[in-house]
Amino acid sequence: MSRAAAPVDGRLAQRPASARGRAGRVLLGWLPAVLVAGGALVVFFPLFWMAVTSLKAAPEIQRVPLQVLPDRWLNLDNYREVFQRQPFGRFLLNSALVASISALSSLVFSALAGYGFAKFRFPGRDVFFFAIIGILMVPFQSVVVPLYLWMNRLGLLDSYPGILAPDLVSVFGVFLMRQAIEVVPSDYIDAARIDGSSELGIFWRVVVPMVKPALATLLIVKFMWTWNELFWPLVIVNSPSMKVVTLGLISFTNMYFIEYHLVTAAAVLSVLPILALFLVCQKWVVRAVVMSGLKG
Amino acid sequence: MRRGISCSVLAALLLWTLAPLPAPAQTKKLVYWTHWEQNPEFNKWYEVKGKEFAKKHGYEVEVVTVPYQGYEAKYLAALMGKSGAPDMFNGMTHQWCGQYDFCDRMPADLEKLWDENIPKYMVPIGKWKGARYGIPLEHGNFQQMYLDVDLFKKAGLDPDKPPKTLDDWLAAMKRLTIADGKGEASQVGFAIRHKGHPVGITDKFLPFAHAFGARMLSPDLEKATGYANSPDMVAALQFFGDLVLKHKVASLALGNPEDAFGQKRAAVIFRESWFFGWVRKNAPDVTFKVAALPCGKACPGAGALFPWTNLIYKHSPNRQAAWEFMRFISNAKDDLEQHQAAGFLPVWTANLESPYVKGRPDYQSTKEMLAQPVPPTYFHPKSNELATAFGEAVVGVLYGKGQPKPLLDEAAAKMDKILKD
Repeated sequence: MSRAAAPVDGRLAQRPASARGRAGRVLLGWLPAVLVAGGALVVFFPLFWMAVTSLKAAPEIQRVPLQVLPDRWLNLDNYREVFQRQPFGRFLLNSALVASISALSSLVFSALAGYGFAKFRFPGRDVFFFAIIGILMVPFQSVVVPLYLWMNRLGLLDSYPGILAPDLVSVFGVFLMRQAIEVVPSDYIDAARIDGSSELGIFWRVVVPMVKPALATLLIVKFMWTWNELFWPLVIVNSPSMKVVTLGLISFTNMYFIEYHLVTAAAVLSVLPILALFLVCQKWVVRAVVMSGLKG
Repeated sequence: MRRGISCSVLAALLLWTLAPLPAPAQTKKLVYWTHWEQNPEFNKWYEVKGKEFAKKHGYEVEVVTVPYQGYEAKYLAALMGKSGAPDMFNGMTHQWCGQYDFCDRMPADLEKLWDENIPKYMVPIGKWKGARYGIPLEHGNFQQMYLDVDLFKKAGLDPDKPPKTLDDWLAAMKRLTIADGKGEASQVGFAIRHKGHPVGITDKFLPFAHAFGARMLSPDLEKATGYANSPDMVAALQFFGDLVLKHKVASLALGNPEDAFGQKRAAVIFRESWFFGWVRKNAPDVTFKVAALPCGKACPGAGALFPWTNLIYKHSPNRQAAWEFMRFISNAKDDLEQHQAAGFLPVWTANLESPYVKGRPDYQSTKEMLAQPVPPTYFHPKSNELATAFGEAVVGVLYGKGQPKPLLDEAAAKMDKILKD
């Protein structure tokens, strides 16, 4: 007779149940990992597809049945053509410059404004604050023409200051910094004031060190937003030497067709700096996403 | 110390990058904006010619290529701003001269020269309310039939005798369609445009409408009802929808039609003359021929929904020089040279029998299409909005969301409202 058919005592009766429980626990333990792996695959696959497509010749992309891997892994012709057709290195440099300056400038202005709104009482403070926040609701497209006229009047068309002008201050940044500075205990600020520190001194020595995570968040988020900005540079830039990377990217998508082999190569090039930023500041980027998601 | 040096180097680098580019020598420039990114040789030609022009008139030409995606916003901002705008630009006359009044009228002598030297169907291109503002740029911007020679032969069809009537064409499409085991088409006869902006879908459907004797708007472009939903239009849309839903000779499962043709999954596509350059580059395995579109009650003829022209900005301080430049390049020799460099059809009638044009795969079909009556044109300032409303009805039929008649009735009412507003 098999053991299963034998009369069972209490322990034997419990065994199948606890085996099921163990299996369930193991499954539950693995489930998040499987889900995360699936999610990672979903996120990673488009990047992988972009990278392999950038190594394919135009006819390879058209081939049926679809072929995932390129014929030649070391085929860099598309990259060569991207650089031949456009001064793509210059575009990358322009984007890096514009994104860096706009991120740093937003950091300074937003932190100062945030400090003012969070820790000072003055007439109309809340009205001003909500008026600034209200700007978030105005679509940028609706102010493009007047902004363009202003830039033209100031002689800033087709120049770095012209590209940067609307990005020097961030409304989102003001909001983020105000929220972050508000939780800094006022006692510290009062103590520094009693000790005779100037307001800027208090800001620099007391407030800034306590809101470093928020500052890092703003720096990263603003850098990425400006890096991805297309519309304003499109309007204000004319000469090839002033174009930013997003303009370089869309130049491979014209009225009639998309040059997939070149778009993907250019996209890989434009993603690399952001990827590098991510690798260097991984901890901060994750925090940035979480913070901006919670407070934005 | 080291930190100080780093800061100085960084500051110097920043100043260097922010410093304005070296000022050019004292030559006057005519600035030309174009969104034709796909034709760099065509655009560069203006600069080359500008150098020649500068010797006589003192003005060079600077070409600014604006990305197609979003070019309208840039044009609008600049042209409204008056300064900081181009002297010359590439655009549609009815839009920039009709809707916005940004254009300078062409001098009479130049107008006469152009009217006399371009194919008949192109004469209205560049005109607004009877006056010429724009120089037509693109001949061959009408659809023709590209057919895959190998797939035709495999289906027992003669690629040298392409179907001439819509009935024959449909019969050929059926023979060219191959179904897989599940009844889905693994190869279709016709690569149909069914995705993307409705304006593009309207553009691809119009040859069918014209072949059925229909037109989208009244001849004076003031009315849609009775035209966009006429019995002929309903029949045309029924025919178009049946290609997908009844005869299954076209498939919505295939992505964009160009890829389907390039991948040999579709035997026929209707596209403009530039398309053969695309096929040669992206699908060199495809052996193709170009033929005139088949006719129904009428022939579709050579017509364009997007008539691109060169225009002169009316507030440009250099507009006289700009017209002088246009006059300078308005001759058959330059027309041939510029279009040949870009690989598309020249505009001047005198060039249509040149060895360059005769050597093109679309020579014969272009000739046949030009011999057909000129189809209706829709050069209305709101043509984009109108074509969008109309295209939505076409999409609705293709995706089985309704019958042609009610969808076209709805579209016509919407179009009339757009026309009245």
